[in-house]
Amino acid sequence: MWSMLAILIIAAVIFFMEFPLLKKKKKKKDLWFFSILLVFFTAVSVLEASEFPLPNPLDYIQGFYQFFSGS
Amino acid sequence: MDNQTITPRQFMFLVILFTVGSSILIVPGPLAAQAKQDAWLSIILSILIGLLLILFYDHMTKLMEGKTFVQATIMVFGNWFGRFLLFFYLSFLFILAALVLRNIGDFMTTEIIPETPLQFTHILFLIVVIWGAYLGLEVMGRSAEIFMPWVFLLLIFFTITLVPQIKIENLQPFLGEGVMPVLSTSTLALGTPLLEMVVFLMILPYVKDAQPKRKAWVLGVLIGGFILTVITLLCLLVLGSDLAALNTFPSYRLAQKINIAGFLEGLEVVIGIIWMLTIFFKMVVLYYCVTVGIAQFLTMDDHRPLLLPLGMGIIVLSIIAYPDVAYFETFVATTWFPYALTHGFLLPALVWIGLLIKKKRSG
Repeated sequence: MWSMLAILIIAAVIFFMEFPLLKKKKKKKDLWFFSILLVFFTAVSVLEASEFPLPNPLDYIQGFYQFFSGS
Repeated sequence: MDNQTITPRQFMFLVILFTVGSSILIVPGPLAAQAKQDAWLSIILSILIGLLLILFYDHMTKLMEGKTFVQATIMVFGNWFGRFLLFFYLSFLFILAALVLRNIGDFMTTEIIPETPLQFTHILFLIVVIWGAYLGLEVMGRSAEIFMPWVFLLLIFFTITLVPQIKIENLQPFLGEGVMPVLSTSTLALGTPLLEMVVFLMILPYVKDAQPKRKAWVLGVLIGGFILTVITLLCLLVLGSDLAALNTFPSYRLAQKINIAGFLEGLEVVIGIIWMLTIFFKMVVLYYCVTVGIAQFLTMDDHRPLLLPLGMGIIVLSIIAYPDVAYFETFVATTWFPYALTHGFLLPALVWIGLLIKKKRSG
C-alpha cells in the first residue's frame, strides 16, 4: 500500500518537474511522449508493487531462442 | 543530442570501463565452470574475435556519416521498417541496462549490504546514473578521465597483493580437456562485453576527429580485454578452477584473499570500488544511449525529459528479470549469446548492407 502511494507521489513529482520546462519551450510533441511513457511506467511500477505477476520479457526471449535451437 | 563532443582519449576510457564493467563480476565464474583451467584462453580468443567485430563497427560508422545508429537506420529503411528494426535494437539496450543494474544490485545485496532490499540499492544506484546521463556525454567523458587512474591503481594493487598466493599448478594440465571447451565458452565472453559494444554506434558520431577513432576503440578493447584476462587468470591461479566456478562472484572472493604480511586484511570493499566504478560507467553509457535512441526514435528534440520515466521502467524490469539465481545462470549461459549476436551483429549487418547499397546508388 505504502509503496504504491510512494510510486504515485514520485510520478507526480517527476511530472511537475518536467512539465513547466516543456511547457515553457512549447514542445507539444515532447510533452505528449513524456506523459505517455510516464503513465505507462507508473502503471507498471504500481502493478509490480501490488505483487501482480508481470510478464517477464526474458521468458519470451528465452522461449524464442529455444524454439530455434530446437530444445 | 545537443552537440556535445568527446575526445578520442575519453572515448577510449569509456570503452575500457564498459568492457570491464559487470563482465568482471559475471564472466570468470561460468567460464571456469566450463573451460576449467583454460578459461583464460577463451577470453583471449573472444577478444581477438571481438577486434574483428570492432573493425566492422568502425567501418559502419564511416558509412553512417556523422549520424547515430538510430538516425542512420531510419534514413536507410524509411520511417516504418526502420523503426521496426530499431524497436528491437532499443529494447536490447533497455534490457541490457536493466540486467547490468541487476548485476550490481545482486553483488551489493549478496556481498556488501545484505539487509537492504534490492529495490533500494537499484534506486540509489540509478539516481546517480540518471544524473550522469542528464549532464550529457561531455561530463561522462571527463569523469571517465578522472576515475581511470583510480581504477588502474586499484587493479595494480589488487594484482600485486595477490602474486604471493599464486599456485602455478592450478593452470595445469594445459588444454587438458582439449580445445573444444575453450572454443565453446569463448561465446560467453564474446556475448557479455564484446557484442554489447554495439551501443557505441550511438556515441561514436559525437567523438571528435575522424582519424584516431579506430585506434582509440581498438586500444580500448585491448586494454579492457587485458584486464579481464588478468582477473580471470588470477581467479584460476589463486582459487583454482573448482573454487572459482563455485562462487557467484569469484573476483570478489579473490579480493577477500588479500592478506599483506598477516596484518592487513579485509580490503575487499576498497577493491570493490573497481566494480562500482566500472559498472557505473557501463550503466551510464547504456542509459544515455537508450534515452538518446528513444528520443531520436520519437523525433524529440531533447532526451532529458525521458530520463526519469524510463528509470522507473528499468527498476521494475531489473527486479522481475531474474526470479532466482538458477534462472540467471541458465539465461547467461544459454540465451544471452544468441540474443546478443542477433542484436549486436545481425541487425547492424543488415543496416550495413542497406548503407552500402544506398552509397552505391547515390555515388
